[in-house]
Amino acid sequence: MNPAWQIGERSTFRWILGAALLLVCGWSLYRCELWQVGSGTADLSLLSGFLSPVTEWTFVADTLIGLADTLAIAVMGTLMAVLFGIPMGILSSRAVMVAPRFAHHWRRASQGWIGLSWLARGIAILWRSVPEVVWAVILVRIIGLGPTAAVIAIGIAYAGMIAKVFAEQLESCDPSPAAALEAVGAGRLARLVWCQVPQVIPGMVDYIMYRCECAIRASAILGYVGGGGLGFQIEYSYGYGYYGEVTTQVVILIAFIASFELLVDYARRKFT
Amino acid sequence: MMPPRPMPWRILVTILLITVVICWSWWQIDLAPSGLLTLDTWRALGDVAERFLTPSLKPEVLKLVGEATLTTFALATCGSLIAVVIALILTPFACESLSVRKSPVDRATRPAARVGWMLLHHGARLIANILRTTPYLVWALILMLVCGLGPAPAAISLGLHTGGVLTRLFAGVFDADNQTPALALHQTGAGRWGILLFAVLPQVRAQLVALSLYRWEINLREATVLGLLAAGGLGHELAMAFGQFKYQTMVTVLVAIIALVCLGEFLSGWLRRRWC
Repeated sequence: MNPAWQIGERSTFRWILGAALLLVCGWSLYRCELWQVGSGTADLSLLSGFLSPVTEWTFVADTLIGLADTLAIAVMGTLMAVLFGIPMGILSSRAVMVAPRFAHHWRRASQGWIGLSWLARGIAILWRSVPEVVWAVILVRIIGLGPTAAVIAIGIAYAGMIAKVFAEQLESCDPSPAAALEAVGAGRLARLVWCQVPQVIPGMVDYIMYRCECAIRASAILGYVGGGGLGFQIEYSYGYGYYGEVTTQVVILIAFIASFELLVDYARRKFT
Repeated sequence: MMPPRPMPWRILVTILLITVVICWSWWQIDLAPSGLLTLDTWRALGDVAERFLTPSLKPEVLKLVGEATLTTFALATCGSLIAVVIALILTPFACESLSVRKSPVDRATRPAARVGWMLLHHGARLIANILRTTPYLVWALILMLVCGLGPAPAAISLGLHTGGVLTRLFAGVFDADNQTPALALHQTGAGRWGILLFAVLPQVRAQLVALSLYRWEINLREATVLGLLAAGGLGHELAMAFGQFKYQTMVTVLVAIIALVCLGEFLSGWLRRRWC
């Protein structure tokens, strides 16, 4: 076995690729002006404000209400993402609309369905390649400030991702049960419902819970651009320089995210 | 093919719980989809859509957006580099196969050194968990306060958060690898570092590269978001254009964001195929 620093066989192509990567990395480091951090402009005294967290009960209660908003936004956003993402994933999956690798004799879907499939794929790419915060900025302009914009932003961005992952899982699941069902004359829908979906359910439940976790993080940031919830409160306290309040809010947020992660881990071990 | 089914009542309870959580969420944020159907919303939508459809192609706008795209790209790359360095330092301590009781290496260690390794192990895990669960927004807020606006604090905050995530992923890979080469090396008298360099790393190299590329891809999106909050780059230009009602500039920025994210997906996929 080669030692760790010898990456694969040596070829001219790899040398060129490695040199290009080094160049790009070096240029990025240069461009980010990392040296400015140590260049005297740093003022550590400002940080002392963070060291005295606010622990008054009324403030903590306010923060908890903000946290509840953030959680609710994340849940509704994930729900919307699932409602839109699953049908889009089915439509854009090659395994459902065309045929798995070896089943050449399956009938292709009609032209209309194929067109719809490409449409779903295009929409999914468009939705997921714009970050949810950018969606939120646009939606806040259209719908106005508030949680509705945040929910729709999370829903749109995550629906695109769920569609992609669902389609990929459908494509990579075992095609033989569906082929068997096809041999006794079952149609596309029956194959989907009885053979393909049951195979991908555990993986999808896992992924959706992971997305919900991401949605909590995201909805805290969405609050920052006008989505309401804890992020909005953090922005307010930070903007006015109440750093002690920021500490309390951040600690509560982190504790919540960490315990949610533990809960998801527990549920994963229990159910899968 | 399918895992054994859990008890039906468990499924029922789960569904009930999820329904309750959804209903509570609806009630909590007072979601009113009917608000979407008002005339004002559609007017605003039409208003935005009308100006949205044509991106601005003026040379100065293109130059601005090009610069911002480069900044965002550099931000993501720089953040990922910092993250990889952090993860490579933390992972040998945070993973179980090299430091914890179960491993063959540990049985040969003297008791005092063993306690030291346990402390290092838990310390590294704690640091990684703190880095990971703190959203990068919070890191950015703190760092911005210390060293002002600019790409450097953004890159570092991205690197800190991603470093925590990568440590967790790397540790998983380290622990899942084949232990036989490590055992063999241990028999010949190799220490922890010998085993790390000659048994573990050669096995997991490809997966480490793949995971780093995957996070880099995600960081391209996150860098946009960070720019929106403070740091410059595409997100900053987007917010500026939006604030000044320059919808056409905004469309150009949006196109650049989509192009950058797609390019990232393509590049990382290509590199993964060539390298791993």
